[in-house]
Parts: sequence; C-alpha cells; structure tokens
Amino acid sequence: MKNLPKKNIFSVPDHYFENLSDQIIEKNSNQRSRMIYFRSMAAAAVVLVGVALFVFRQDHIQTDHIHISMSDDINLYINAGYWGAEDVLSLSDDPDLILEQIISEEWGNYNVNEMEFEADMWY
Amino acid sequence: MMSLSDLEILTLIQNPQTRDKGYRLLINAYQKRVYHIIRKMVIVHEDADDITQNTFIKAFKNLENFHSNSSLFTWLYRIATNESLNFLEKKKRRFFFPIEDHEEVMKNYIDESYHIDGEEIDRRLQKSLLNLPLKQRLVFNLKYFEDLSYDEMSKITETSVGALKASYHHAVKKIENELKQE
Repeated sequence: MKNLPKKNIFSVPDHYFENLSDQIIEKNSNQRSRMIYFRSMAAAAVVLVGVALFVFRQDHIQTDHIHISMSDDINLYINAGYWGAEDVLSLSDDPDLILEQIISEEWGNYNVNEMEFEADMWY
Repeated sequence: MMSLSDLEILTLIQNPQTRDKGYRLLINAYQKRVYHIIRKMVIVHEDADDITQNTFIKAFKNLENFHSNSSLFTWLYRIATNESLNFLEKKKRRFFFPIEDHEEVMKNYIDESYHIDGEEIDRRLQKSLLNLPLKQRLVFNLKYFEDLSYDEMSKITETSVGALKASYHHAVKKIENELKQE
C-alpha cells in the first residue's frame, strides 16, 4: 500500500464551492416554504371539514326542532279535543299503519298462549 | 468536543435573526470535506453535488438532535456517509434487473469525465475500490484518504474500533491483490 497514490483525483467545476452555500440556502428555504404551504393547506382542509361538520350538525338539530314543535302542536290539537281520531287518520299519509300501531300498543303485551286461549273458549 | 467556532456557528443558528448567517458559516467551514467524502463514494460530481446539498439541509433540520459531546464535523460526516450509502443502495435496488449497472457507470465516469484528474494508477485504484463492498469502501476512504483515526471513524460509522480495523485490513488485502493481478 505504501506505493499506492493518495492523491485526490476528483475535481469540481469552476467556482463550484463559491456558489454552493447560496444554492443550499435557496434549496432549504424553498423546501421550508413548500412545507409551510402544505401545512397551511392541511390546516385549511381541517378547518373546512370542521365547518362542514358544524353546518351539517346545525341543520340536523334544526330539523329535529321542527319535528318536535310539530308533534307538540299536533298533541295540543288532539288533547284540546280540536282534532278527533278521524281527523288525525284523514290527515295521515298511511292511516292503516297508525291503526296497526295503536292496536299493537293496546294489545301487544297481551300474549295468550294456545292453552289459555282454549281454556277461555271452554268456559 | 466542539471547537469555539462550532459554538459560534450554533449560537448564530439558534437566533432566527442570524440563522442564515450561521448556516452560511457552517457550509463554508465544512463544504469541501463533506463534498469530497461523498464524492469518493458516489464518484459522479452531479450525484455528489445533490447529496452534499441534502446533507446540509438535513443537518439544518436536525440541529436540535445534535449533541455537543461530538464535533459538528463528526456529525456532518455521519449524515454525509449515511446519505451516500443510502444513495448507492437505492441505485443497486433500482438496477436489480439491470438495464444499466451503476458500478459500470461509475467506472466509465472515472475513465471519461472531465472532472477526474490524476495518473493511470490513481484511476486504477479508484476502479478497484468500486469492487469492494460499500461499507468496506467507506472504511478504506475514511482511513486511507481522509486520514481519520479509528476513534473518529467509530463515532462516524457507529461501528466498533475492532470491526473497523478488521474491515480496513481486508480492504487493503483485496486492493493489493487486485492491483497485483492487473
């Protein structure tokens, strides 16, 4: 190894090292501003999603309010005797469904097994 | 340990108003040494230029991880050697189905580029070094061309002194044999 050269054979273009610091600092600041841009875009996206969720929730809450106040009004009319059962059924889109609901509410808990039914019939 | 100028550079970088000045001082102090250790690994000037720039940018971003019990030079060398090894590993993987063998590209560059000086024997040595495993070539370059002590090399490569000595010994034997055969 003693006979082997230790010479640096790698040369660089003229003025390379004079300009290198400028290039590195420019590249660094470009990368930094690109990073800031991406971060601000990400933050804006988060804010937009947040606002969209808030608006959607508000809309949902408002619809619920309308439904609650409508059913309050209907109950008031019914309780005051202003609307009778026929009025309510005639206002409904599906009167059969309401009747079925009333029947199942009234009779739903009244479970009679076959033996009891037959005993009832016997007496 | 840090030199006084390293401390001055770090103090300038820590202050946002003098940060760019600190960066510039850091680059000017170490650019040649950092560039040349990278260049000896990747051979091609354009690749060495890219990796040198990335080394300094990485250093700027990670200065808070720098521990003042080692010198800035050792720390920068560690980033530079890691970046060079990663670059060459990526090139190897990319040429898994070789259209172009990067080792051949580097050998041709040594023969043909304007940015290579030296005698025939210098070029033969560099081309023989390209036949060594990457880490062995790094150890050879750090010891033979950069004249670093095994302790410094151990800090840079995070390898034990014993392993470095063995690696250097093997590298020297391989190079001697190869040059004798030619």
